[in-house]
Amino acid sequence: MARSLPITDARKRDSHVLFETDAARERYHVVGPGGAAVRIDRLIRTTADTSLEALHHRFGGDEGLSQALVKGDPEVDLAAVGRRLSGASRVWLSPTDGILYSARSLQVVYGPDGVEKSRADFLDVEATVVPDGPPLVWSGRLMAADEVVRKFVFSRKLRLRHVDGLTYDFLHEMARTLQETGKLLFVGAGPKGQQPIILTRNGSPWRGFLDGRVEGSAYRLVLHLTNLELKAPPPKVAPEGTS
Amino acid sequence: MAKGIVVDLDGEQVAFDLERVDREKLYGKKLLQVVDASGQSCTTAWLTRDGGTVIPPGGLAFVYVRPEDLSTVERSELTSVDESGQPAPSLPSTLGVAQPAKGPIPPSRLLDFTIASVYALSPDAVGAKLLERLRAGEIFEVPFAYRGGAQELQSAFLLANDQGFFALVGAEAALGFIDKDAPPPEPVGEAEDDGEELDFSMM
Repeated sequence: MARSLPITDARKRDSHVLFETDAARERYHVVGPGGAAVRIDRLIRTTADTSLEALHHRFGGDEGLSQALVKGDPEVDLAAVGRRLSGASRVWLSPTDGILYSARSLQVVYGPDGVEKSRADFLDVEATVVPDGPPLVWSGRLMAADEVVRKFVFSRKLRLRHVDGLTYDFLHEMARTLQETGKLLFVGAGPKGQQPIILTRNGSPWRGFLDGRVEGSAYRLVLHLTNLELKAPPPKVAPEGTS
Repeated sequence: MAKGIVVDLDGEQVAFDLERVDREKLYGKKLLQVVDASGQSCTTAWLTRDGGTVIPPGGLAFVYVRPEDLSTVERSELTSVDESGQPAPSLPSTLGVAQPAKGPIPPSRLLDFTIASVYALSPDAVGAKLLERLRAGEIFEVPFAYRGGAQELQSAFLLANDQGFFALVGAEAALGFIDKDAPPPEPVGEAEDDGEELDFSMM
């Protein structure tokens, strides 16, 4: 699926081009016997009324529940179990009050050691790369591929592609420029290109490096995205009282 | 101790222990937590269309069915195939088995791959030639399959920086060159999901 983004070139001209993601992740799909198509269905396995907590409450504790289990099958809701789930709504469940009609969303931050560092009301983070937003800026910061691959892990890629003859020239020229430098261009979002690249609301923030190559009239402009530095994890700290 | 990567370079074998590197280990994590009026943490659930049944977390079973008659298909009957219907190759795990090192390869080769997982490597040999060449800045590629079974064979790229030795594992991205007359891409649609929820630390 291709989407549109604005981007500038080395001459500070901007244009809207398309980008598409790597389809490699969908190279294989699952089929049934004889190559027959299959799909995943969701079936109800258990309901909130037959959860352990609900049954405890209904039968007054372990003793009452044990007797109920001997006498019958209170843990199975025969009217619901096995039914296909479709058109259901996602809801939040309070441990004491059932379905929430008003919820408060918090963002809880944990450090690498697993210790909670902060919690605050969650605020939406808007996408920084949108068709009607500022273009991705040609930062001019070039880094050698050999250096980049030792510093960052690229777990996502976007290929830029033209939408017409003018944008073909625009992108082909951009790829040729980058190929001649033999380096990758650091790319960021925002007016100065310093903000992380966020493609969807509340999506992951990425740093981008634009890689350009040409072969005759064909070009390849790939924005390598990273959100992980190539670093060794900190050593594990043994819990207190152990050696 | 799990089996590690064993690399064969010119007849000399070096074994590496693996430690997975991910964002949580380096930066920690951010989670969305929903609380009720009294501050108790809440869980997600499903409410059926008729409003009569609440399905708690873990209350759903996912089954494969035939679309024409909705009969179930056992997982043991499923196979992975590519677009042409050819089954995915069944590969044994490469862990603990010496894999021939290809290289040195240029960094552009590594950039052609989408990296799915990263491992910090601890070599079992100190003076091996492979380690010297990695420290000198060379990059080597070896076949990689963490588990055996039907899957796409991945590559592990071995390299070193000032933090140590690493293996970057991934599959080659299907992002080739585009010519002027290339067919148009699929129609513009909604954003593809990042596949991650509120995981935006680092930077």
